[in-house]
This record gives sequence, C-alpha cells and structure tokens, in this order.
Amino acid sequence: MTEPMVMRRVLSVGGFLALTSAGTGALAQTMDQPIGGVKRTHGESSQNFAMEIRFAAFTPEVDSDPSLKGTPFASTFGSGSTFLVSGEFDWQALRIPHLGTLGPGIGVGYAKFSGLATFTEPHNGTLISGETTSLEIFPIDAIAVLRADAVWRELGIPLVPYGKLGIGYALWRASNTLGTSHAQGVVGLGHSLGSHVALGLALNLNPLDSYASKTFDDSLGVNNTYIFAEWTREDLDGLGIQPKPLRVGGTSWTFGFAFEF
Amino acid sequence: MKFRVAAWLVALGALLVGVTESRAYAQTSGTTTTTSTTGQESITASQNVNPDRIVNGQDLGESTRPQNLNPTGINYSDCISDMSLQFSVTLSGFAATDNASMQIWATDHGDCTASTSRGIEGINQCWPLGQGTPADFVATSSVTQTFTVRVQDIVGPQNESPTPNSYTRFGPEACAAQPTSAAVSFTIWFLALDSSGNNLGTAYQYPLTVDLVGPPPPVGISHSVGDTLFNINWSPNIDSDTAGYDVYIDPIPGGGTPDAEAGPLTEYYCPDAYTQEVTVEDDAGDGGDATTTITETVQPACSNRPIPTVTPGGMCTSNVLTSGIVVDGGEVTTFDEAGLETTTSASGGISTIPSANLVGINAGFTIASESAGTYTIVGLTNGVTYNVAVSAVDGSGNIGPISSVVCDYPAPVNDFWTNYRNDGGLAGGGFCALEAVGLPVGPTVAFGAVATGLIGVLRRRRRRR
Repeated sequence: MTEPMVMRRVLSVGGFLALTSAGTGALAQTMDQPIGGVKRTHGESSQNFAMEIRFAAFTPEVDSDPSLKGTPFASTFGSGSTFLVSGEFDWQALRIPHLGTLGPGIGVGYAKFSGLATFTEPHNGTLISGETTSLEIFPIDAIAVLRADAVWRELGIPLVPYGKLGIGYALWRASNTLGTSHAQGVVGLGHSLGSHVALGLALNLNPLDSYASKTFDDSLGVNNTYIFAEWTREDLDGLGIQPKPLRVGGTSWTFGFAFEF
Repeated sequence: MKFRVAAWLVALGALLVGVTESRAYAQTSGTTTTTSTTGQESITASQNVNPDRIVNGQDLGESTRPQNLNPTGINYSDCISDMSLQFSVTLSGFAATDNASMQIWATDHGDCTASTSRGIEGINQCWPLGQGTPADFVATSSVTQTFTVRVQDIVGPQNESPTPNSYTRFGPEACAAQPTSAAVSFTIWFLALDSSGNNLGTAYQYPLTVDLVGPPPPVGISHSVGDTLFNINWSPNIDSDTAGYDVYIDPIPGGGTPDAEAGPLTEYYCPDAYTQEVTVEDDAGDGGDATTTITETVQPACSNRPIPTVTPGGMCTSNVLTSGIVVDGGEVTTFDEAGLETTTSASGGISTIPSANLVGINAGFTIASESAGTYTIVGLTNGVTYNVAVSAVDGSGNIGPISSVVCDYPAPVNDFWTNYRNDGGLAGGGFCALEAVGLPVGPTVAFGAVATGLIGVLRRRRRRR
C-alpha cells in the first residue's frame, strides 16, 4: 500500500468520526422537543447517551498474517472461539429527523485464550506439556454510531437497525506460566490498529412492559432498553500504517443489552 | 438543715456507688483464667498468662511459631524437642496455718480440684506434673513463683491405663501418644492442697491445646512439567485437621546432588535440516507489489536436549522424601498416577523432611489453604529429574505424612509467542514499541489523535451549553 493510499484510508475513517462529532453543535436537539414530527406523550426524560453490554464468541485472525509460515494461533489454541466481553458508551450527539441518532462512541473489551504449550521434543511419549500459554486481548474502539430509531419512534415497530464505523485498536499480551512471554529477544506485548465496522438490529423491550419501562425511566432515566444482535468486523491489520501487527481482530456475532438514557 | 441531711445522704450514696464500682472493677480486671476473691487463698497468673518456652535451657519466649499456627499450643516439634513450659503464678491469701502444698496436675478431662479426680477415693483422671512444698507459702502476703513443667510429662499419660497418680517422667515416646490427628485439649491445674489432699481457695487453670499428629496425606497425586517448572496436583483433603500443604522436592533446585536415580541427563542433538519456500517482496524499487518465491534450506541450531530417565509408569525413588515419616497411623495401598500399587499413610502422622527440601514456605506453609489442589514449582533445571511430594499441614504446624512421590524432568517448550515468532511473526516488543521508521505516523499516535479530537469536541460542546 503506497503512502498516499494509506493517508486516504486514515483520513476517511478519521474524517467520518470528526464529521460525526463536529456537526453536532448546530443540529443537536433534546428529546423534549418534537422528534421526527412525533410529539412525545408525557414527560419522558431527555435522551443523550447509550450504553451496551456485549458478549461474543470470538476468534482472532492471527493466522491470517501473510508473513506467517504456519498457523501458530490454531496450533496453540485450536480453532475454537472464546468469550469476548465488552462494553460500549455512545454519545447520541446528533438527532437526524426521520432517521435516528448519530454520535461518537467508545468500546472496551477483554478476551483470553489459553492452552498448553508443547515440548520442543517428545517428552515421555507426548508433546503436550504442563505449562500454560495464553493470549489476552483488550480491544478498544473509537467509532461513530448511527441508530435508525425512527422505525420505532414513527412507525411503532420496536426494531432499531444501526451501524458503527471507526477505528479499532487492541492491546494484547502473550504469556505463559512464568509470566509475559519472550521469544527471539522480543517481549510478547503489543498493540494493533485497524478498522471497526458493525451492523446490528436492536429489539426495543419497552413494549413488552410499558409500566416497567416508564418506571425505569422515572427512577434511573433509562428511556429505552434493547436486546441486540450485531455483526462485528474488526480488521486489525495495521491500517497500512502499522507494520506487521499481531492480527487480533476478527469477525464475530455479538449479542447483548443496550440502554439509552 | 434539711438540705444538709440531703447532702450527706447524697455523699453517702455516691461513696457506696464508688465502692461498689471499684470492687466490680477489681473482680473483672483479673485474667480470664482466675477467679480471685479478696481475703481468700488464691493462685493467679502473674503478668504473663502464657508460659515461656524453654528448650535446652534456652528461653524461646511465649511462642516459637507464626501467629497463624496456634502459637500458644503444643505441636509435635515442641514435644520431641523436650520443651518445658515455665509458668509464673502469684500465690496470695495463704496463711502458715493452712499448711498448704502447691501441686501441679494435668488432665484432658476437665477439673482436677476434686480430690477424687486425683485418685483420692476415686479413679483419677488427672496426673501430677510435680509438686512444691508448704514453705513456698507466705502468710498474708502475695508471692510470685515460677514453675516449670515438661511437655512430654503433660501429654505422655493421656492414654496410660490406669492414669498415673504419682509423678512419672516421660520421654520422647510420649510424643506418639496422641491416637488421632485431632487436637486434644489439656488443662494444667495449679492447686493448693491441704494435708488431706483437698483444694484450698481458688486454683489456677491454664488451658493448653496439644496436637502431636499431622493430617493424613493428600491422595490423587498427578503431575506435569514445563520449561523449568513442575506442576503437582492432588485432591484437596476434606478432614477437619488440614490447614494447608507443604510441597517437597528432591534434589533441591539450584543446588544439591540429584538422587541416585536421577541425574543431569542431556545429550547433544542436531535436528535435521529442512527446506522451506519463502515469499519475498520484489526489491526493484518501483513501488509495485511484485513478489518472488524462493526455496531456502534451514539448519536448526544444535543444543543439549534432555533424555528421559523416568519412563511412563516407572517408580520414583527419593530417600530424602520417603525416610521422613516418624509417626504413622498405618498404611493403605493405593495406586499412583501410573497405575502402580503404592502405599501411603492411612491417617495422620508426622514427616520430618529437611526444610531445605521444602518449597516456597510462607507463614508456615507452602500453601495456606485446605482447598488448594495444585502447586507449581518454578526455577528448576531442564533435564534434571526431580522427585516431588506433598504433605498436609495442620493448624499447629504439624506436617503429616507425604503423599506418593512423583518424578519427572522439566524440558523446553514452545508457547504461543515462540510459535508465532518462529513462524515469522514480527509483532511485539511492548505496548510502547516504536513503529517502523519512515512511515507517516505511528498507530498509537493515530489512535490517540482521534481519541483526543473526540474528547475535544465533547468538551467544546459542553462549554457551549
């Protein structure tokens, strides 16, 4: 990838985030105002933020690195997935009439893969040792989030499609029983940069129990509660500006709960 | 006048209240093991309730163990070292006409004040530890005296039948008198007895918890090894005595001579060369993405590799570990991890393995938890065969019989990071590792810049509001 191409890619992602944030000053509205032409019926609290609790079966694409001769991740940890637990906080800074909310968000998570290291030579008839080896991943995402809640607000269908786009980033640590791993004089700590894309559909739970949802709003200021399913793609290949990162991103289906407040 | 009478009544009442309060204070300010009554004969503890511990004539203070290991109790180590307990008690209220005799008795059944419990017209449940003379008592004044009793004399008669009613000196065999691993509560009585053997006044009693038998050994032993490390696993004990575990190893890591069956067993080994195809970027400098695939021959480095000396299913031998059991509640046949028949202690006992072979001691244990079932020994030498066993330890610091011994040699391993780097991965170096020179901007800086921008926008928007 040439340098101009790299710059264009960075600028496109960064520019999208910047536009999302900077344009909010003039267009922001509060939930007390008419939304998309629909007048709120009673004193609902203002809505400016969203928070998600997220769970995913996750497998990083470490072995997709073209510079690798083998498949070190699969041969160490197998081809299975592990649990990725994460959280996300969004600022719904901009309300677009007849569409939904747009704003920046940040997400953090944690996943750990563990297995048994292999002996360099057969040992008592086996290659499996008693020493553990692990890879811990701490994904951090800076994203723009568009939630098209007009479907719910204007048509009364309790479904909210949404999309996310931004920069994906992860800190990671490779370790064994004795602590952080070292190999060839290099410590097993690092970070990886890339892009983050997600598309999802959230089901608003408020219609299931309108009394509880109103109480939830009155007591804690939570306007909407959702369960959601999301296709998440985190491509931590360095974005062309980081040479040979550990590719700890991947594609996963994420499920969880979301709260708007 | 009425006022003067009332004032006197108030003053008198206050005086009575003050006297009552001061008497109550005097009664409750004593030690919990005494019940002193003014004007009566009594024996009380002096300043220190707990006795000093004397071994080979040396005063070791009130305790020789960490506070978490029943520091004021007696364990096997105390007993076998022929420890003596030096009590300091104060005698008061005795008159010469009492013609009293100071005697010290012990029991594991409760009360020694009744003459029948000391064998006078009854079956004695107490045994004497020594006795003083009537001359020890001084009329009307308090006197503090020191008395020394031997631990072996306290614990020795507990299973004697009949219980001795005259002083008997016991030896080291007394330390094997406890029937089970459960601790036994003794009471040492300091009695002032008249010529008929009746107790005078208030006696002083000192409770003493004695535990001379360690817990049963852990079972279900298994092990695994890694690079310079040895894992030992066991089924956690479920008895009421175990408080933790000690792990033993032979030979001692970083020193000592390997046991006869072990040894630094390595051989010089050169792996076969192999060929591999490598894709390299075209270095024409035209900025294109062209690559070329070449075949190269790789000769792995030669090194010393371990030779297994312990075949699967083989017996482990360590004289250091297996010769340490001095008290044993009997043996039981079990099967070790290789399926071979082995014998371990059926109940509690005592191990006396040198402390140099003990791993990771901390506050009296290797692991201070009964529910623990695994421990990793690190810092070993690859290729050296180590024998490892584990003992349960009770709350008094008694080390029970060892488990079956497992043995193996640590060997080099490849973890994920080694595999990744060996396969050509280039990442790593730390969270703050520098990026390649000449690239437009580091990823951390890029991420930080975007995050900073977002925060800035947020703050600006907040100020506008």
